Amino acid sequence: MSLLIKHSERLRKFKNKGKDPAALRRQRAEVVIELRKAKKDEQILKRRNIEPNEVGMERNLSTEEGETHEIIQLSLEEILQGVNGSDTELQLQATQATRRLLSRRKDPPINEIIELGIIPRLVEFLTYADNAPLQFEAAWALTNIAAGTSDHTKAVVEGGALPAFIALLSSPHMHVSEQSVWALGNIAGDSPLYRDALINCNAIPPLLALVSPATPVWFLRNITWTLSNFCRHKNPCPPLDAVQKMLPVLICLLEHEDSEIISDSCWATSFLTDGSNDRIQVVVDTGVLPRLVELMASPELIVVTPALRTVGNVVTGTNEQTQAAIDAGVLAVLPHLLQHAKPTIQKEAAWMLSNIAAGPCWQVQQLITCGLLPPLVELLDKGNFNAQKEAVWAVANFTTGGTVEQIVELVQSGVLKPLLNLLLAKDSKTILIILDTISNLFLAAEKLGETERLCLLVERLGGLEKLEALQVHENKMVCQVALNIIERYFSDE
Amino acid sequence: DEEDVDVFEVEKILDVKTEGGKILYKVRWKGYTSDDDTWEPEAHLEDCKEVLLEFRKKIVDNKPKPVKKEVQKLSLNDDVFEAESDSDWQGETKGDVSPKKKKKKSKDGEDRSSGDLKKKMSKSAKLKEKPRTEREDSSDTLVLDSIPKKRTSETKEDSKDPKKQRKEDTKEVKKKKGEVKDLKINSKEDFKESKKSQKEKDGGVQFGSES
Repeated sequence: MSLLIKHSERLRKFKNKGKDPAALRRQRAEVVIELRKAKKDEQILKRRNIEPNEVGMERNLSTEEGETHEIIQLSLEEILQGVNGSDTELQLQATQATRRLLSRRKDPPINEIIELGIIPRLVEFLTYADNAPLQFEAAWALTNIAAGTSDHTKAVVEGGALPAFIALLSSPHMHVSEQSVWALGNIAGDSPLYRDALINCNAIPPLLALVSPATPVWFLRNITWTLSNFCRHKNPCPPLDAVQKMLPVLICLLEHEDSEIISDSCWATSFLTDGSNDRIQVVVDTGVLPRLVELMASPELIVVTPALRTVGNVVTGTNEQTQAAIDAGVLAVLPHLLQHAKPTIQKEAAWMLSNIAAGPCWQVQQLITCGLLPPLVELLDKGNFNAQKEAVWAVANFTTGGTVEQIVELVQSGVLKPLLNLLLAKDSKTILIILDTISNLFLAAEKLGETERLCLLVERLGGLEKLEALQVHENKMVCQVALNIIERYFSDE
Repeated sequence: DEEDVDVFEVEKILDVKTEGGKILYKVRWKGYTSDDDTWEPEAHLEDCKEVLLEFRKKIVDNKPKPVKKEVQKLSLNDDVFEAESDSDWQGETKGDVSPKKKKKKSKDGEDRSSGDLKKKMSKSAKLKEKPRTEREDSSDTLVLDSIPKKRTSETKEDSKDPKKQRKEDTKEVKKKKGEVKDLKINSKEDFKESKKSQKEKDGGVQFGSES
């Protein structure tokens, strides 16, 4: 006899009040399960693969020592009956079965579960404060439905889940509140609409209240992740007062030792800085920049990526905001990131550099002082192509806003050779930017009366022949600009 | 400590340039005229943060505002080759800027002495710098045609996935560090779960009819 049946029999002895119809139902279900078990034993030996969209039953044998009971899966029909019935045992079994189906890695049958129409009932289970296991299973099941497409999330929201989950944030059972945090994270992550609906239902205060020194790390991770989703989305970006409430907690979480918590906090700040300058200012005002710069130097990629993104966003802002990042020491960590093993990090570091180079000359000067020219040249020479494109922007911006002296230093750092080599790139836009840069270099040279020197240099580096080749490039603009440069600077008078 | 050293008050900053790898600011001294303007290195102006900030703000205000949210397009038309008029921040600040009193106290009562340049300078040194001012007004501040613009990130491919399924398998190994997280795995022990086998869960068997 299975443990399930033993368990049920035991239950029957204790809870037999008015349960006869339900008991009979259960008995029937148990018999059915027994029969199926026998069948399964046979078939499990024959077949290994489940067809993609089959919802059916699975059998999971637990082989851990000391454990012999089996987890039996129910059919959709049985789930429906169990959920809608009044027998609490069956409710739990059915809900757990639902949860299991929805937790499998491959193609969880979300649509089929939605079509059962049990979402409102599951939401109702969330309110059964005297049945924490049921609340937990229902919360988990709903979480995984909400983890699907927007339509899936919508089904959960329209089932009335929002107030129920928000209420569960205050559950005395930590796993129940944690599961609710997770569900809300999925819902907020769906769209700014749902994010703001949750904010308007006052989800944030109880969420923040869960953060304390006593909160276990596994719980904090989920809270941080959910908070980051409350910071997510633009058009519109989150309400400012909500951001003001969440920021201090996020800044605090940035100091945690757990990498995942730090990472998700940084993702949150990256979302918050991905907007207008006044939103950037809100983040800068917290004084978080030094910590973010520190995190940019982390050995953990999951931390570096969002920290770099955040500070990269900050330097798209005003000169003052950029200066704040510089004052926080970002220029010292950039060289390493420009040479990072991961190409996307290289690319974003170069992107940040290009935006700093778009600033006023005293910021450009700081790029030079902090030794950023050599790694820039190196990236231009050897980086992966996306990073090289950003590096080209950096050089271009440098030559647009830098002083003559700064441009001279740029040329002296050896930037011309890799820059001219990139004229062979397939990307017309990049070529145009390089051509513009070359023009800027000549303008600077003119001011110093050094155009001929520059011509010779370009020629020696093979630049002239590349320019000449560009005159017949497929892109007309490229042809024109290349021609202009040649005519203006390289033709004999 | 020299007793006979003059301390001069900075009235305002007029301009900025670089030279020998250093940033220099053109200082108008309080009570003096443009004849006595000198170029001072940044380091000398440590006590004059407010004056500096005002100068920097002025520069921003005078420059055409960069459009930050668009992809940078350097001007590709003839402007590149035409000599445009000096952009404002390179030369003398255009228009009159009324000299403001710099000695504001900060909120917590600290005297930032923003106006005072507590520099020990002898008069002769000051005179020496004067001719430099005149000579260098035009040449070393480069005038370029387009103002470099800030560009927001074009690709956000590394952004985290907004939703997570909670998977059955709580003993799932976390994804390798460095990978973009798409579905986050909850690695905590599930208090309700019976111990799981390590087998793949999606190799179940389909059963036909119900009883």
